[in-house]
Amino acid sequence: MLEAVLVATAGLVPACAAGGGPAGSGRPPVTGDRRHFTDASLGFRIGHPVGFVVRSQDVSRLAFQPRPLASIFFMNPTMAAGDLAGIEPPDLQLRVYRAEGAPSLAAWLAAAGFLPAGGRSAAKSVGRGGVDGLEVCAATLVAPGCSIYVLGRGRVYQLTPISREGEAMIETFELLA
Amino acid sequence: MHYSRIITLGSSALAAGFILSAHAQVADPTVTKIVSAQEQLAAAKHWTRQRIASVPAFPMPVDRGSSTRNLEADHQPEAMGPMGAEPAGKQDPLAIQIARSAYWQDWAALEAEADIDGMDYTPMGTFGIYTSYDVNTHNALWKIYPHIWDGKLTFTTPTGSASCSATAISNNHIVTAAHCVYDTGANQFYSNWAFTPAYRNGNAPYGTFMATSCTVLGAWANLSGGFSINSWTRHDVAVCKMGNNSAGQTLNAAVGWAGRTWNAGNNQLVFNSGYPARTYTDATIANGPAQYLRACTAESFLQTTETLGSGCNWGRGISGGSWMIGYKPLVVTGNVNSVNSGLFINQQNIYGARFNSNNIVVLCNAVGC
Repeated sequence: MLEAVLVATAGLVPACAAGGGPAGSGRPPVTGDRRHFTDASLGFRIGHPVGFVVRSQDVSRLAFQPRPLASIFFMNPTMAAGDLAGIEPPDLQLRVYRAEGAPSLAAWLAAAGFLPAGGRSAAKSVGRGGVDGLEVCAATLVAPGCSIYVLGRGRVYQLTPISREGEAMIETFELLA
Repeated sequence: MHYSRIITLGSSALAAGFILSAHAQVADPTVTKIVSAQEQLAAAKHWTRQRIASVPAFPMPVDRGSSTRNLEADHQPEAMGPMGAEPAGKQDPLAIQIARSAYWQDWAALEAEADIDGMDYTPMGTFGIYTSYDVNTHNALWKIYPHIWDGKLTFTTPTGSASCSATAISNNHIVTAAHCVYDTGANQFYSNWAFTPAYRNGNAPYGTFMATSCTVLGAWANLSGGFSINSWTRHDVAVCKMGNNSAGQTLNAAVGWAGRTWNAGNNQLVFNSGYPARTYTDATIANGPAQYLRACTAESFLQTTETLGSGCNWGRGISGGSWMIGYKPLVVTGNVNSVNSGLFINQQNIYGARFNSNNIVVLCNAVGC
């Protein structure tokens, strides 16, 4: 257990330098007080506040199924410099899963076991920014508790915010053409 | 600006009721009495420590009329102008030293006086009534008992990193909610539990302690279907054994531990604390979600079999946080009587298992808390 947590902490690396993981787009463009993080290989772009730290999590260490293709932490500078960086839920966690051939997002979520007991009724359709998805909230008081899932390009993108900054970032999420 | 009409009166004039008749005719917004030097001297001589100690309490006014609320008042404008405030202040750096020297007998007597414990009233149990606090958002409150027993519990679930709350108990264990430990839907434990006592906005002042084992009740692991406060919460308790921090300290050596009580009455005055990210409406907390210890005090009430409720406004993230009875700031006292399990969204109560012989006792007997 100790090793796993420490590895997870140490496993956070700058996302743009993560070998085999999400590749950043070099110098991100600045838009107002936001920057955009673009990952062409995973097919998405998302804005985040200036000063936020973006790190990639080593998904090979994740014990659960389905295992994501990538897991990216967007953290405010205080959290990123803190002792629990990489352990505690970040402002926004973005996970990307393989989903080729999924008949629908709801079907994929059900097959992955990501719907809490109650099934489809536990997922709520949401439109955020330019994408439509399903919001799934846990039935318990665990934080963060709610994720928004988006299906596109043969992948499922899971966006899990814990702060208002993280929630605002979801509005800027977009799939690349 | 001085709008006061200053009245200088001797005690004989006061006794004659002069001030009352004057007050009735005064249009000024305030009325002031100047206390003469002779009166001050006389008062200082009169109020010996014995007289201060023995003076009877002044009667509280009692209105024997109707207590009906004036609901029309709710529709009247509230503001009398822009909001104003004056900051609080600290005592002089040498104040305690000077006071201890000048009033040494009082200091000696106070420091020798025994604590008084016990509540001289019986809680009735209140639904949706509470007082809510930000606790270790304040610098003075993060390193004192009993707050240092509380901490943030982080772990890994199939859908990502997650956090709950937990409390250090005896023999280097923590107590938290079973739903922070074991997923009944998938019939599997979560992983990578890390407990950070006194966690405060990214900082771990006593280090982080990794779990070496976590234990839930069989009754919890056997549940299936949707989470139900009325039938699940009574089993929603877990304990985890914790390893040492990076300084080589045990959890109990680093922060001590909370007591615990089981089979206590349903109606208790509880201090319910944890690290919420959201409120009871499921709205994200603006200032440091899941970054600070926050709390409610309320009187617990019986919801259903072995399930208690208590008023609170916090939500997601406070799971597993303890309900402490006998809470006293700065004092090494306070017993965990329940942990946060669930709420009904938009209702200002949180529910938890009443600690009893079938949950916390079974768990601690099994693992040696």
